[in-house]
Amino acid sequence: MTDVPSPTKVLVIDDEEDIRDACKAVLEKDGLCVFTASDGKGGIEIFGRELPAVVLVDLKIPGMSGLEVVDHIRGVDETVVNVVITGYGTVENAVEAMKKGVYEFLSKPFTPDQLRMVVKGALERFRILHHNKALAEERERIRRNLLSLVSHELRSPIAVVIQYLDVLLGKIVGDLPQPALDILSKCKDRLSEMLELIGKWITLATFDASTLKESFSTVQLGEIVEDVIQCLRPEAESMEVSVSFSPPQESVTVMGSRVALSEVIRNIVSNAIKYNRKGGRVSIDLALDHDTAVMSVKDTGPGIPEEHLQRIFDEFYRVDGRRTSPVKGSGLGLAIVKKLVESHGGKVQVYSKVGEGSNFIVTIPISQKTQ
Amino acid sequence: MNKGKRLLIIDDDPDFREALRISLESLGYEVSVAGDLDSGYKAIHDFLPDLLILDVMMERLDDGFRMCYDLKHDPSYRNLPVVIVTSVTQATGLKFNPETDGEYLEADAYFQKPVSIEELVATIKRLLKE
Repeated sequence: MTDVPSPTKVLVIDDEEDIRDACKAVLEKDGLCVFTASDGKGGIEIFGRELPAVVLVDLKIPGMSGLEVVDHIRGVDETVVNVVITGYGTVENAVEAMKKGVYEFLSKPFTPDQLRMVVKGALERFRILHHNKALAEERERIRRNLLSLVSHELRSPIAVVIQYLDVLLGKIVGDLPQPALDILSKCKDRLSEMLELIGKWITLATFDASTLKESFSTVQLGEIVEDVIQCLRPEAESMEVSVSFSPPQESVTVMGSRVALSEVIRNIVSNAIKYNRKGGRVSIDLALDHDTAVMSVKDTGPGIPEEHLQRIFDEFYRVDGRRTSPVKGSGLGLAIVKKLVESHGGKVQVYSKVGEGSNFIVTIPISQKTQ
Repeated sequence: MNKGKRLLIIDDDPDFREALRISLESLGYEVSVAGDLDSGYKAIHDFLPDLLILDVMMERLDDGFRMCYDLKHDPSYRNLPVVIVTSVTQATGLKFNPETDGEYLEADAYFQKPVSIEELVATIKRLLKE
């Protein structure tokens, strides 16, 4: 929510007309803008429209209860201060209300001065909460910029060294003996791995689900799969792995981030190619199952031992973590996949048996329903 | 033949400029380099490149963006092809993403460092309609 609650607005939700009128009269004298509603539904509607910083709500109102209204409001903006008006204060009510984030109580009957004091305190609290929130957001922004800066500072020199290695490997400044070229080639490989690791780590460290959600648009999964296959063609060919994709009958479209979903599909398909046998196969399936997009990527690789299945989505987890392992990887790819898929409201699962290959299944709802 | 085609590289990293220059000159291009916006603008006026290779992140965080934007909105340089190179993409945390911010930046192509010379040259050929 980018709209900020207004500290000049107060909302009073009470089914008693006298209470509403009295609150309005008292608080308007103090220069506040007062809105009123006689039930939860009306109150929530006005709240959504006006965004007051303080809400006074009677515990007992027709329809939704006062606490349900508080729940809704806190779900929208946690800096809005809720005050509960109660005709009978019981300890249970108080405890439950405090747990739900209610700031203060007003017991009926209350005097105008009591009302003023509580609202004054609530406004003060709003100011503090709002300031904290702004500070927290600023701190997060700084942290992210710092990470970006660090990543840039780490990436730039490595990128330049690789650029120069390409010059040497391309014999552009003169010929070099083959053993020298081999060594330089190994250097380039290791540096490329490092670049990839930095990129992946930064992706994980700066990942923010809500920012990602802001960039959502309609995305055609079939197109992305085809792009990824095209991109990974050289890799597949060098491993002599054939990649097949059976496109869905009707186009499978989801609300999501094209870049994020490309990353997801790329990571999974790339793994399927890397962790495969020479001459092996990768089969990709995409279909619509009611209101869910289902993508499955099967490989003819060695399969994943049962004891690892639970943990392969953990950060830095690798089934074969030896530095001498034939397949290079950071252990971050699947952690990223999991985060990105989950931010689309989806799930990723793996079915695998040693000696029988693996099947990664990603399910994503085609539309994002707000909870 | 690439003879006669002039390329200008603007990047604040002297080593990257050098590495790219060596590679492109070996393929017959005439290459000039500049290390900041001011000398970059001067080089555009004096060297009259056929294509510009521009790094995004220089002294201040949006130097490359601004230069690209200015050039594309200047009638004399609107048709100068601009290839943007960058160490920074969405994966590295900044909000800049070539594919989605492309329309705003109005550059003709994007490459992430390290740049594959083969791909860069294919793009240069395409943009210069060789």
